[in-house]
Amino acid sequence: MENTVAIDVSNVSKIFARGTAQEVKALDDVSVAIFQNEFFTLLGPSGCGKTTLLRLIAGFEHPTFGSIQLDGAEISSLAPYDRPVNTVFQNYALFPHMTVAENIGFGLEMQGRSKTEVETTVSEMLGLVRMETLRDRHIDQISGGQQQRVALARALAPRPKVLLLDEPLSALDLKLRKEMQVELKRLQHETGITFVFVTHDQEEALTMSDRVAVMNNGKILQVDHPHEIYNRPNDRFVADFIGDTNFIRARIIDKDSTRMHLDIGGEKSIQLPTPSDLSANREITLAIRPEQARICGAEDTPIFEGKLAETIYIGTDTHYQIDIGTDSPFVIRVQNASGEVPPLTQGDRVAISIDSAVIQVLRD
Amino acid sequence: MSKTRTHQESLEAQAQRKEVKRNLLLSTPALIVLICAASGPLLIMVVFSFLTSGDYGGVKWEWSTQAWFQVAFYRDIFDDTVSIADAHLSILWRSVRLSFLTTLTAFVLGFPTAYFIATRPPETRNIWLFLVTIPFWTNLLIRTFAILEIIRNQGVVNSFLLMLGVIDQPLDMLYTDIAILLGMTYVYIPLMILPIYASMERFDFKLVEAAYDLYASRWKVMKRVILPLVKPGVVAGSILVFIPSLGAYVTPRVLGGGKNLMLGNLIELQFGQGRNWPLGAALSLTLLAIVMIALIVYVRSAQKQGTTHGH
Repeated sequence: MENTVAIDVSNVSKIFARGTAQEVKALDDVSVAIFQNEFFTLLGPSGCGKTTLLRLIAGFEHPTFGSIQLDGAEISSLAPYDRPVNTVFQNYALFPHMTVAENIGFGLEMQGRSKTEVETTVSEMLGLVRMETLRDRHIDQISGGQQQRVALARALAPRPKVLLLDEPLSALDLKLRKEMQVELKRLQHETGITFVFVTHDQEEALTMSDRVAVMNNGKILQVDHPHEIYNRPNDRFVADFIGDTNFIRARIIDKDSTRMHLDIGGEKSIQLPTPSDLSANREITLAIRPEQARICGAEDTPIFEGKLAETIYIGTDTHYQIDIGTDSPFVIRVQNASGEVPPLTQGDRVAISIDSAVIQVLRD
Repeated sequence: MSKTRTHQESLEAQAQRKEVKRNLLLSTPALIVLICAASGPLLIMVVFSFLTSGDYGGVKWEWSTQAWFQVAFYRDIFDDTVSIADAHLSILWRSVRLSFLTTLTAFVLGFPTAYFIATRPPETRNIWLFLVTIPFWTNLLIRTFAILEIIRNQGVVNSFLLMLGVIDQPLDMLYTDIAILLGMTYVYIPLMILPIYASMERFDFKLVEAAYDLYASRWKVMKRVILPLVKPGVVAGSILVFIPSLGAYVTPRVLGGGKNLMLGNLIELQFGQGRNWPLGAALSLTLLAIVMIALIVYVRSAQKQGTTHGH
């Protein structure tokens, strides 16, 4: 079930103002398969092309090259009103001259459904987003969070095959946003519709998604499950964009089939399992999450040593910034509740140990 | 607690009242000018319409309802038989009909123009708006004569068509109702375009995308989303075109020749050659009444449509 492809984007490029001085390549040969009944997120900084990809799927733009298929049928040249795909817009784009119920019923009415069918579906949708009591209110008489729900109900009412969500939570305050994240997840489960969600908020992407595509500069860098994206980033940008990461430059001194020997500066070296395609003498980057490094106890073998530059207390965690002679300090995060918080003061010599299994090797 | 709140409220109300008072004071000069310039002449017109006409123009200070009688009826000079003043009524009818058609034509041409301008990139919109206002730079009379030059029998259009051999007799366009319609549409169309543009500029075109996304066709998007939301502009534009059209004087005079009079010309005639000032005053007030009735009917129906849309 989960692996039936709903949307198949293959080799899609989108070039705006093509052939002029302002030519912009918003999407550069992007291919991705989105599965049925999946919560799929396009994650990336602004201008990375995620919204453009969403608009191509919705039909507001057409690809310069490449094809987009929905359930095996080519849709890239269809108009938005000919696609069984609906959108929740960033600022909701609700019709201000209509009531909540009229907004929700609009799509059904345009599809030419009977009056009774529109009525029943609208009631059902109002129930789904828990807005029954506000049915006859006008849009300017309800709050932002409620507008968000109406926008969702309006897009879900015609039962699209795919629901597109363009940063729908960005206008809400933090508490409401958290609430809506849970709500969206629930709606996706209850309706069984494929959700394609666009966001620049990595936390949002990780909490809600079945799979995440990380985008930058018009390309998709990595598509995977959230924990894979977090723990096994395959690209420096992905590692940097999602969560905090310590980056360490290293050079491969020598290697055999299973292990490689790395020079990490300062006459120190470590051994790591060898990825298949790296040759000796090559420069690579190591990525280490701050919570996966430890300040050495007696039983550990230290990998780096440095001087404690700064201790930052942030409630749940304490961050230790350790100067190890690289450009930026190495950060270690220790959970305060873990009881492993060492009593260190600024300037203390600190040894760092890292389990070699959590070190990510990034080729660049 | 509640006591302090009501106290605060009363303080606020007091402050508000003070503010209103001050604003009223500030607008007094403008109000005085408006009241004197608007109701003064109006009052004179009302008084004149109940007087007797002087032999060489002007009025005699004798009370009479003769003028009001003459607006709609005609008494034969020789046998005193009373009949409907069909000349007046046909002029009245022509005025209303041409003004309505002018408004309609201006809307049909002006709406797409406003839409076009509103959908241009912001930096080029001002250029288009500027182009729309260019005709205002030239005197109305000169512009009207320019149209006359274009459509008269030996004018630009006819010469061109004759040269091409499309026609072998010049088309009689001048001194017809069509000529008046053309002239008035040309003169008043900016007054339709500008308010519609103002509404449309505030219109969120994301809503069009949303409607397309929800399976609305182009026509449905126009009817269900764009038109209802820019209606205030359309209403304002229609009023701004209809009212001056109804009282138009120069355009029908120049392009309609002597024979196709409109209300404005008829009124002028009474104060000039007709030497019947009371009738002129009565006709003016009739025009005013028509405008007011038309306005009330139009605004009422526009409001009604708005509320039925809302439920």
